[in-house]
Amino acid sequence: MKVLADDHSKIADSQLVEKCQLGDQSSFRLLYQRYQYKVRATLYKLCGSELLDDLQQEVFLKAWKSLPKLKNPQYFSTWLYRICWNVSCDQGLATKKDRQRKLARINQVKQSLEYDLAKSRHDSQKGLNRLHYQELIENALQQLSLDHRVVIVLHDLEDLQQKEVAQILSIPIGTVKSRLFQARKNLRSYLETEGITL
Amino acid sequence: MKKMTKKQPLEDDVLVNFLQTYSRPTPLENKPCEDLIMRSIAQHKSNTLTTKKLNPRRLFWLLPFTIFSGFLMLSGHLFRQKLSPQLVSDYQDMDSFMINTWQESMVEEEPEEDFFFVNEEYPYVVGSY
Repeated sequence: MKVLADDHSKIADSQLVEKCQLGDQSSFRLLYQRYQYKVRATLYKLCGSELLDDLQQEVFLKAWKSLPKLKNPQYFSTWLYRICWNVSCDQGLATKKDRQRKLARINQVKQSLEYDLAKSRHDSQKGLNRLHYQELIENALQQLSLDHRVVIVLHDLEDLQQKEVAQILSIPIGTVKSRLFQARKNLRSYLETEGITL
Repeated sequence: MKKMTKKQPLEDDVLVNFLQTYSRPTPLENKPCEDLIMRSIAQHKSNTLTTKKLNPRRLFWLLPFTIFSGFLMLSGHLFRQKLSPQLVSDYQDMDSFMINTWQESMVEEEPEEDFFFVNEEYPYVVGSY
């Protein structure tokens, strides 16, 4: 079984994409397994957890449907991140659900706080600090505009290069740099108001 | 300005490090996403197959019908072509007939022929007076 997994990991994305374009579903399953965590993490940081499962499915379904149009299979990951961004934008436009999302987030934070508090009684101070920071970062990201947030998520959290970010968002690299600068500045000032100086 | 450019990358690194260390981990899936996606894909594939590609079995039935309808159309076309000269000759006959009858109807008659005398038609009525 391990041998099989190793063999699969050796296959390049472009080869899998070409097979998918011929209708091979098992190749798409491999691509899904390869990228599901990255896609999920990006969507979570951009849109929150409320509709995460649905958004994840939407991204991969759109990818499957649009795969025949992908001319350069070697840019699959960039292309997939672009689909993520488009889905996030569509989701961001649905502002009606913002309140529900915030409530759900508060409940989730509350639940995780209770869970973690119970779990880390022996090391309560350390655990509390961690939870506090997590909540702060989440709030700090949410108070950024979507354009600034996506640059931080892709570049600083997903470790993509500025060039790739520019390709994903279809903007010049200079715009990526300026957005990154502005977003970091906003994050820093937010964290400072919450008592964290970096 | 010089001071800023030297300080900025270090500050950025600290911020990025802080974000990466304390970001909330991505929540686990609540639904079996992989299975759901693969099922949707299979469904989508079957849909596209039925709309875009023809099933060989369907083709087997479709082919004779296509040939038969083609044959019908061709024979209909030929039949119509055969009929059309006859129609023209009918028109010619009808034309000559119209001319003849028209001329006959236009022959002028004597106006006296339209008159008649009462005595000639009703002699018994006149005699009773």
